[in-house]
Amino acid sequence: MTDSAPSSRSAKDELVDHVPALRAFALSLSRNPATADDLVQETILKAWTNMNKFQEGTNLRSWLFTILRNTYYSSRRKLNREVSDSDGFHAAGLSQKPDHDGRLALNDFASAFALLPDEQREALMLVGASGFSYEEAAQTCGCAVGTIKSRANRGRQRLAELLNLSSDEGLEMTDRATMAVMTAQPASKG
Amino acid sequence: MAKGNRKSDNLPDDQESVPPELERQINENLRQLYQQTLDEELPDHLQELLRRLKEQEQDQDEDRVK
Repeated sequence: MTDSAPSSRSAKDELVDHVPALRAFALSLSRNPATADDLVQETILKAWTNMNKFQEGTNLRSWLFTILRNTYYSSRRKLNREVSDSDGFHAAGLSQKPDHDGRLALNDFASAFALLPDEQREALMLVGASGFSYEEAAQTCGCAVGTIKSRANRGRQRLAELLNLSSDEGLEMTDRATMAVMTAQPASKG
Repeated sequence: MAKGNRKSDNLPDDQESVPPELERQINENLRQLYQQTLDEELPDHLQELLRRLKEQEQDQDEDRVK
């Protein structure tokens, strides 16, 4: 096998493989499924038409995520009035019943996650879910590694606050309904 | 995840980190959220867009060969 074999899959072929991950990242940024898909569509078009600017052998995933991120932030600046989108997303999440499976209800988690500032959500999504290294996430966001670490830490801290998790307890048994039951117990019988 | 041993960015590192177990569980929930979207089928308009782009690419390749 030779490196840079011309017969290997092209970056355009590879781009297709990253589209589901782009959607997940777009949803975490925009918190609105329709906006997320618009973002992905714009990202695909930009990437496809600018593929000649992508350096083969470098990180395609990071390049695509960067395009999506830049697209999101520039469109958000233009469409600030659409902020109410995210309220709909929150409300949808909060209106559903949490699961009672002994673990943190994912709906509660999603609602809390959606309340985090953009930069904390993207840092957590990149390093916590997408499997980016801190270095890769920093490259994608155009900032220092320490900044990503700090944003991710602040995001986790905020999630713990929003979900009423103290530092010495885990996420198990901590969905809102469970917490309500626990706190509603009579203090004592006597 | 190694704590940064470089101080090149001059930022306080991990000054507010949560306990490792909490971090692990937060990450697990993040991955579940992420996975939900990964598992969804791409919406029709995105599939259609990719199909058109590929077709266009093939047409261009064929034109170059001619």
